[in-house]
Amino acid sequence: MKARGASIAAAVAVLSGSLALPVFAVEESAHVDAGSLDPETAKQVFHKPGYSPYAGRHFPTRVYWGDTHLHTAISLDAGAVGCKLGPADAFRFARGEEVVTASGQPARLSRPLDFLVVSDHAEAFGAMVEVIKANPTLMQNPQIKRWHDMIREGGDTAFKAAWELIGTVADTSKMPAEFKDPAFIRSVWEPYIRIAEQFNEPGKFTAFIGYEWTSMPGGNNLHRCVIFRDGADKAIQTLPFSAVDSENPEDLWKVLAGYEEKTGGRVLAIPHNGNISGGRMFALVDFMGNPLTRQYAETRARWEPLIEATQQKGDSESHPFLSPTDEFAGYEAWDKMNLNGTQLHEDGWFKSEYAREALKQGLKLEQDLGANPFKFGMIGSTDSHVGISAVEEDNFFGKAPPYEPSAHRVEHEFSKLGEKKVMAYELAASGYAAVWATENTREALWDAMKRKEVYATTGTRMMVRFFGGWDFEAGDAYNRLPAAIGYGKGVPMGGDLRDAPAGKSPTFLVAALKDPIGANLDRIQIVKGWLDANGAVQEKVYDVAWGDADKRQPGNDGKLPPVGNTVDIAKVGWTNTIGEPELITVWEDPDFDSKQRAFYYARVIEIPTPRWTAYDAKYYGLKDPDGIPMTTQERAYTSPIWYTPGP
Amino acid sequence: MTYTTIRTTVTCLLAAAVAMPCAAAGQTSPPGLAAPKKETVEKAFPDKPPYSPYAGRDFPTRPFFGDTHLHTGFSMDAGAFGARLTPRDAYRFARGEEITSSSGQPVKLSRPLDFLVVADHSDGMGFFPMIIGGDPKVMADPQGRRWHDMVHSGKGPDAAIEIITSFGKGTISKAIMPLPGTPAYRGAWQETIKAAEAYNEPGRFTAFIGYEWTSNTAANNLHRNVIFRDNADKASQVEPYTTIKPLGSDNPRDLWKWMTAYEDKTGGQVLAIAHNGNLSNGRMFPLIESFTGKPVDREYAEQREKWERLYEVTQTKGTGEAHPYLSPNDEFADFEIWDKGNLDGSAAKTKDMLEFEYARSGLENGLKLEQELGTNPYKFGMVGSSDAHTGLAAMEEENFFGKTVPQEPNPERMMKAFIGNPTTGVKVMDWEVSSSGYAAVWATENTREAIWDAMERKETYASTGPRMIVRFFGGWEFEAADAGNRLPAHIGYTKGVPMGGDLEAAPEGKSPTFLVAALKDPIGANLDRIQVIKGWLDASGAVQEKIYDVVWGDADERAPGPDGKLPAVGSTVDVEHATWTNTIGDPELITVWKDPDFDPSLRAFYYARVIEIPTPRWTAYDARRFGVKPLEGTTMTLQERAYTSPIWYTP
Repeated sequence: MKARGASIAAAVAVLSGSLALPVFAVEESAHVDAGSLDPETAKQVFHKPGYSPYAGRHFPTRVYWGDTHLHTAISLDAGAVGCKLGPADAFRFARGEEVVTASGQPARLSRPLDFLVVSDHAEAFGAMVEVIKANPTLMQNPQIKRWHDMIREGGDTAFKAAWELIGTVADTSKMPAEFKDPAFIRSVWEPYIRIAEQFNEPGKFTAFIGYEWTSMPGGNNLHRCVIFRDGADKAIQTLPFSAVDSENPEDLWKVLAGYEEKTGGRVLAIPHNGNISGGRMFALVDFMGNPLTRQYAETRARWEPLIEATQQKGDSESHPFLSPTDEFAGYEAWDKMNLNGTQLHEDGWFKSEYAREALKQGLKLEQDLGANPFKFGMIGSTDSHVGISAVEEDNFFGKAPPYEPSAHRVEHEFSKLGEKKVMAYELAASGYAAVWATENTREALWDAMKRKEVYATTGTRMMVRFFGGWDFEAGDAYNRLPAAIGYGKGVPMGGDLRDAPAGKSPTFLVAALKDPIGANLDRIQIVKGWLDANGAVQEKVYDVAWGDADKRQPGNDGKLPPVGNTVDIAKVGWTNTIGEPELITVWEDPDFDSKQRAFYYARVIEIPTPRWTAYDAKYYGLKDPDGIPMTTQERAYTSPIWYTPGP
Repeated sequence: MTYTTIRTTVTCLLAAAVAMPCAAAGQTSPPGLAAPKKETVEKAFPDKPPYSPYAGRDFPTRPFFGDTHLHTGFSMDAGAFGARLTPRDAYRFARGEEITSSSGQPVKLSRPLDFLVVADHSDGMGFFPMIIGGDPKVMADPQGRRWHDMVHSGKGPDAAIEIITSFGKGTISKAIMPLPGTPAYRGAWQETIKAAEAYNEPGRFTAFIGYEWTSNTAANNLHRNVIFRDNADKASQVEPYTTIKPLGSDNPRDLWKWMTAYEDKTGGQVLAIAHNGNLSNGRMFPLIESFTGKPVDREYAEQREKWERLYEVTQTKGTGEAHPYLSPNDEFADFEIWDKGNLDGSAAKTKDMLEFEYARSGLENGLKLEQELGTNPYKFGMVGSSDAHTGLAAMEEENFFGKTVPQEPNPERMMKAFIGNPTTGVKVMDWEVSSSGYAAVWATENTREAIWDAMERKETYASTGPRMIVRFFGGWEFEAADAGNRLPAHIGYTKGVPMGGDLEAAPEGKSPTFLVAALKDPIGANLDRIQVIKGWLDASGAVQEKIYDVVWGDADERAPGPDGKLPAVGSTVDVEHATWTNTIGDPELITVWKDPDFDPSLRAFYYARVIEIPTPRWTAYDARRFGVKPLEGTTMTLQERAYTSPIWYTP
């Protein structure tokens, strides 16, 4: 192995480090209730670090993997298309057990996940399963009874019933009152919560209580997954807030505030799929079309510390339309139409649909309003409707039961509008949420989400650290305890840098370790966005560490050449003979202006590997899968670190 | 990058689908059962594995790391040396909590362990806590009372010396002596069990019930750690076996009888792991039993093979895999060697003893005994463990808390003699104590049952401290491409047997092939090389051994020389700053190796040895942190390693 300079494979030991205790500096003795504290006394209390480098260390030392967004049969649409797996199955699968899916196939993860949020749609919550089960209260309504009877007949009749039911429920004015009855919802919500309680094992596996608020004005996706920090005692005091009651996110935030006030609990919401929001997810106007206010910005930032940047219905990190010089933008892009296929995509929508642009606009809004509504971290999740979080490329169980593994699933039309089609092969086997928490509990994971110490992956479990500060130096990348250095000298992903010391530029310690059973790494990039002196937003992508550095250097255009490709599509294999298993470096912003607001996040890119469609082609012996992408470069996006100039 | 060092993902090792076997419906049916129809059977056994490559897969997908050999203040000697931590503290530390050591220092592991066996010495178990705590039995006994008062009036050291001397002479008062049948002994054992029960969390952390049977006649180490598969309900039906006659015995055959009796009585299961053959002065792997002076017989072989499935090959008191005298061509044999004498230095070592002390020669002689007796008494797998007497399984070089409490971090801890016997001249220095090792177990889940079962089938390996991941499979059909497969564990289990397994009766014209892979400790050092070590019994009945370098790091610029030896990997260690860089070696190694010298008529075994690049030894961290100058000759760097359990070939 060659010496690698910037990409030295020094430990992504990331996992280790001693936390130096602050030196207690008191000029003179201070008198408090506990007595007088003078420098001598203080010295006796605050020792220098002990021998054990790990003692006294309380920062997160490992990353936890999970899915914050999974549907089961409790969701009306999932139930309607044949999902039979409930929350208990979902938790069992996530913690590593084998389950049989709706299509009768055994499925198991390569490795367990550490946590799961079952986030079933609040709208007509549990209606489909209860119709199927012949819930006695529902059966008193002849219309619902008819659906039940039709479903029992099976075949086309059942399909027709499901279609009718969905159509009826989609129009809130026609939705049967029974589905909106709080007593009915509670009869589903309480057992739903109890299942989470049953599977929640602090320290081993976290089963969060949550739901999805599915606002879809005009078929434009404004969905949010709601995640409780709390257990049943508090969550049971509320009910899932439904878009039937309001499609305005500000009303959701009011409900969340009401929950916290009533119970003393904590809750947050994670929006997703800006890419199919018809230009509304990160709009510069509110739901009613009014300009954003400081109050809006503060409220949104309070309740929505994260966004889901990647999932099965495409990736929302960046788009080539917005970032034409970023050759990695537009990963698994879904840019043909809005969510329900009622409007073709318009170019004007892009700028308020993608995370990077929103982060940039947030800087401007902060300048104008005094608060940044789009100050979010990033996670990935599945949004799967099969009741299992199976988004490994070699183990992809699709978006919904009709897209579970079959010889024909790649040919399905997922949605269609005029000439435009979204084909099922365009579904992304993505993603997971990575959380740097101090332990695997609801409280610790939720707190890490709240402080944005998280990152998104498109399905791979690479380990990524990202620290920003003023004093990182090249040698820190060689230190055996980089996490100790990272926390010691800087802030982790999701944190803030303020008011640059004179003459200093921000420095970043960034490290990535490949998924132990996955592919090598191509490169680490730092994406910077800033507000220039003219008040215009800017962005730039820097390659900061890369594999094969002994033979790969940026060309005259400043671009790093591609890493190459070892994928054998026919055999669905690749070799880790290119790239590197670990990358670590310290990077200093060469273009820093201490007067300008900015953010920085890391993007880590794997070498090419077979996409799920290649596994399908091999397993089912598909002929002529022309035009279907067969390889992918999986990646991770960290939460940003923001820089704010001093007063 | 050359083919042999393909950095394919090794840990995929962790991954793979088990192909469902195709059922061949027979024509005959078992009594009372109708012969199944072919269609029915075909439905029950689909001809195609499921889409999910991980469904239907029940082989172990991750190794669990632990320590099978840890002493707390409950051990007589540990207590005398100042260990105050209890079994409960030991479990808390092992599962990742920060605790305060007996010397008052905060200490925490870099990462939790997955399991721990608190293995306190059975003889005198729980004595010091009872004296110090003022147990009512102690306060009512004049001798006990006196020791208690001494400890509490600043005369603890005198009391400790008196106690140990009295213990050695057998003059401790019956009322307070923890021996089988006494309330003191039963109390200590019950608390040991309760501590394990309190911290055993199936699926998260396994706290085994166990103890050490410390046969040490004339200071020749024949110690065994006894590990229960069972819970309190069964383990509390017995009391640990001791060595003091007449209730106990120093002969392993008597321990095996005790183990048999336990299983007969309770329906439970128990195994024993011997350690420190290097301090047994020629008695650990005998051809002639020291207790009778007679050759090892078939019964000995069968009993030992039955009860002692593993051997602890590396620990704080040295590494016992191989010795340079026995393996002069093995340049890695000279690793953390303790070969001056027996356990207390009362008898010096002679060269003729070595053959019966080291694991590799034991495995070799085992083949010979199998040929003679029909059973191989030394058919053992390998683990490492700490044997620390601090209650702390802290065997990381940068976080080493020593063998005993006086050896917990302090500026003098590497400066004196650990064993010094002026009469024999045997001297082992403090700095020679090893920061080693851990046991790695390929179990299906983290439970007492699953880990114990993996130990019983020897699907384990020893590490001198790092948590590298190592796979080793043997079979007849492995081919080069299997090392490039994305699911090597699937290939490994499908085409072969894992470490600890057996190959028998070579197919015509075939030589054994091995799929071997290693992934570095994620926070540790890169790998230098993987070696396969072969031992065999030649046609003349003599044992032979050979070491093959099968895959190595930096292969693009490093190849074996004309002498067949691979050049050293180099060193990046900065001793002064106690650090290194992973700029040499490789993070992952995988290959398929075929024995080029195979003779199907000869018994053989094969195991893998994985060697890291050089890193700072604990002594270097001490020198750096305490600003002290080590003694002349102190070893400051090392190449940590792992030893897998062997795979045996039997004609």
